[in-house]
Amino acid sequence: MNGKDTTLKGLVEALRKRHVCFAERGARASDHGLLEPYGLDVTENRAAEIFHEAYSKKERYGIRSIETREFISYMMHRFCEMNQERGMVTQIHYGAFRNANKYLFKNWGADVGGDISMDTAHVVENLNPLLSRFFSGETQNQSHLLLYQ
Amino acid sequence: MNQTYAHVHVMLERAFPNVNGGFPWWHNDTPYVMEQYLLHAAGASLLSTGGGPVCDGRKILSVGGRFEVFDRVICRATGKLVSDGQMSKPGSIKVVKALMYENQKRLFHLE
Repeated sequence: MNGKDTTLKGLVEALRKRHVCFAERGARASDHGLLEPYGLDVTENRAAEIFHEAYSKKERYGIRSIETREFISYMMHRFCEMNQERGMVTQIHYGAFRNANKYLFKNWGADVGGDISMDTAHVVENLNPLLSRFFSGETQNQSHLLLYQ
Repeated sequence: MNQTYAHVHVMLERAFPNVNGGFPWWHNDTPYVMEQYLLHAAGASLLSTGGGPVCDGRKILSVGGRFEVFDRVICRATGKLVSDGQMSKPGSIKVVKALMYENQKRLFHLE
């Protein structure tokens, strides 16, 4: 956070500042690790409501909950806006269920062979609004999305 | 690499000009599946538009080995297409150059 504004707007503004900082130092791409590649159309009011519930009221949403799906979608739209402004590539790695073997994770941590490829991920339905908005090829200044499955 | 979604990526690339399939060499990758993906993309879409291999700093010690595997896989896949008469030899050289250098340079503005 930026130390001042603990609303969704504050979060996005703080992330935007960090994005500018990296872009000015030569960053060429962002990379997002998602269970499923979410990019639905979600209003700012809805995202702010979810953020408020989670941040202020300590509500804990599950990884598969509609709130998680909507909030990630909202943030992905913001990240793509930032990338487009700076001509940066958006990369999404999806479909890896991390640390499935809790025994391995507990004793040796992440990235020790306990990740598994997901058997199902709803790619097209979840991503279509994001793709149509940012990666349609409609204008010359659109940046690119690299998808890794 | 999860082959389940290979056809989705290929079709998304066709439908959205600014979407590129990243090369499937992270998580669960094998030379055989990587080659299969390239042949699938060549048959169903444009092989030359793929994002090619990219690497990040976490893999700095294995970058050389990783890129050598990719070099061999892409050459084997394009070699098969040439020997089957599905791609010309000059065309295969263009594809390899695009996937190994030119696409990254263009997409990531590395000029």
